[in-house]
Amino acid sequence: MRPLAIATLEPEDPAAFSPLLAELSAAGHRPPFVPIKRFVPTGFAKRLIAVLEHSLATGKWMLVTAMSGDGKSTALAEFRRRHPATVKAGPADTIVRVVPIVSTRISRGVQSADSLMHALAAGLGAPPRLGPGAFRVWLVETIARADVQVIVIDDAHEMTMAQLSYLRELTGQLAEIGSEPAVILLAAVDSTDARTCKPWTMIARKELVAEQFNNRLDGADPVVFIEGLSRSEVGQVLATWEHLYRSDFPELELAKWTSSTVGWLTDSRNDRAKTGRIRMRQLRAGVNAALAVAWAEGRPGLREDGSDLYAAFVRLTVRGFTVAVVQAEDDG
Amino acid sequence: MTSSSLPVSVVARRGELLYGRMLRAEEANLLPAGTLANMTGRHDVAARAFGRPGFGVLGTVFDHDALAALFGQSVGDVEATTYRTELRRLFGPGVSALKLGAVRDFRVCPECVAPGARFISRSVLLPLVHGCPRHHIWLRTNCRCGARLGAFAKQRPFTCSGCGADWSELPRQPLGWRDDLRQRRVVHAYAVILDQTKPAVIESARRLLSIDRDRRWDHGWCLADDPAISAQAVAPKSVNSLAGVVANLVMREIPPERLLDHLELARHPDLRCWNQACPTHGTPYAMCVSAYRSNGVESYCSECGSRYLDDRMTLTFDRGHGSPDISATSVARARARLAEYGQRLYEAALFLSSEDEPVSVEHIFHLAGVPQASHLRARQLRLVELVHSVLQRQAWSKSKVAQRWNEESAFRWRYPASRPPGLGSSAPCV
Repeated sequence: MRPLAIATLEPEDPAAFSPLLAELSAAGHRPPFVPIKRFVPTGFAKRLIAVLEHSLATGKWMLVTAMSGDGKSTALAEFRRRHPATVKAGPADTIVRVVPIVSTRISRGVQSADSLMHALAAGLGAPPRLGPGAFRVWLVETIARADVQVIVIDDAHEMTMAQLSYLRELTGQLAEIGSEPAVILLAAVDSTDARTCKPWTMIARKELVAEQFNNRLDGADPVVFIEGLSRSEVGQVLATWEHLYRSDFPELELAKWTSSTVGWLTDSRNDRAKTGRIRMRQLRAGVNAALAVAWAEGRPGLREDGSDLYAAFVRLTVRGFTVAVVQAEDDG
Repeated sequence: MTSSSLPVSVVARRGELLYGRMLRAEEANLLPAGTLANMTGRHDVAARAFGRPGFGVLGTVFDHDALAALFGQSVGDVEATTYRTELRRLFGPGVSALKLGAVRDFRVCPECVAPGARFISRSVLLPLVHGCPRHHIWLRTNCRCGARLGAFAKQRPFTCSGCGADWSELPRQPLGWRDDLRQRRVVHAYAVILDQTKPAVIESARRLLSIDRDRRWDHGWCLADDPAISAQAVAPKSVNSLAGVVANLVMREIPPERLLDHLELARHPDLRCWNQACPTHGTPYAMCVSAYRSNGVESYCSECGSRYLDDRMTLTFDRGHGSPDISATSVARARARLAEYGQRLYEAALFLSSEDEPVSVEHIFHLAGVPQASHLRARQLRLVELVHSVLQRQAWSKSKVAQRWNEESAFRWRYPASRPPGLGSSAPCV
């Protein structure tokens, strides 16, 4: 099928193409569509996991960046799943939990060093109720005993200087007792230049803390930008979904819309940084929306002309899937 | 282990006290003593009170679900570190810790808490237990510096809150042989009572103690020399805790297994023993039904062996029975038969016990030609006791301990006081 160009639909009828409204209207005779949340090893995930595995093997500190929505957290979860926590027998009838990967996610609402400290402790087991000073000492000993090899900070673009300073202090104390885990900062950027991310701008300052932190990024190419999905990788993802949804949609054909999908998602309104790459979040949102409408209408697959898929990506491009207007029924 | 458990978990140990397990977990996780208590203890209880011995009996001041999650164990494993299961089985769900008895001080055995072991037994919570049953040394309540030992006094685990000395450095004073004997019997009595499953143990103990009038052999010293035992050995009607039961059993040298026998008897509330020579005279405590006949209920007294048809006595072995239904001649004939039974049982027991195969009382009765009637198993007739003593004497004589101990050793239950003719000394029970 020839790829369709995106038409300008503004002003848009709010009732046009709403997956939620379609599901609500079909709620009486059909259960809602539930997207499959199984991990799909996309090209981006493979690249990111390869970098994480490299850091795990070498102990190098790294600053890893990618565009928002590429699937960093999903790939990180898969990386943790591949290196789960185990237990080993300790002295005097004890069982020690061995945690090779400790990760936490920075949020904008919690930006103190103590909050980072408690978040890291939560990955090791139930944290005890101690004062801040005693807790810091306890955390250092516990990380060393748990044989942590990598500390991953997700959403590192939200980090503050205080948290960066604490991370330096923590790793310094660990080094004093012979434990040297690698640190990976996962940050989102809005361009392909990784040096524009906030952690790097903090590290690059001429301050003592920043300089000491910078000293730890002493490996080859410690700052990395992971590109999004290419055309062929998008095709692989669509083919995978076609297979996964076969039982619900016997006549589903997604792979043939690869070129069209790439064209839609590389539109300047979707790819503002002009990377020429596809973000997994946008791809998933568009495909799931089309599938939800098809499910609500009881169709075994997408429309032959791809108009539902097209409408989904138009909706995504113009205003996203954030707002739906549930109108009252017409009284006549 | 789950994410809700501590980074380092401790393996459950049988017979360990809850406080000991919490301290072990805190030591393994490099936490100060009392951290887990503060995390799982009730908010209406002062933090400094968590280490009280009384709270460890049932452990209700702590959230057992939270503790189990922190330990990475089941709630049953946590409850096994308290006496909650045993006391609820004996007294019901609303039991108070005072049913076990009052313990005011936190005690430890310096040998048990040595580094590498770090074991605090549940038995330190038992009243009347002042020595370690494993190492036979005195339990300590105070440090060398004079500070009272506390489980969760904001110090490093297993150390003194005053001077910081490790508990394993406390002096080790071995128990004297009399104290050791007392402690063995106290621990044995507690073990027997807490392991059995029938409730109403205190009521049964009151009955047993009130009817017990046997005079026992005096070692030359009294087991009630221990002030704690004598203080707890109150009158039977005032016994209200397991500590009182144990104190009375130990002081009177009553084997705790006899309490179990007393619990096992099926009582009939409408029947009475009318033998005036029987300790249960006028009471239904020991009455059991033999059979229901067309002309009445056949019953017997499991204490004195007297038989009845409804309220009429048909057989007794005691001369001072006071019943008009039985003549002196009948009593003499019954006593003669009893003596013959005893002789035949003694010979049969000697014969069968010389074999290496295990034998039962029923087997010996059958071989001796003694009727398998229930009333012949009555306690005061001492036929069953005779068989047991012969069997135990044979087993005892083959044991290594017997080769060391002489017959005058005090490490034996001396019961009954008078020795049956033709027999040697009774075998030890401890």
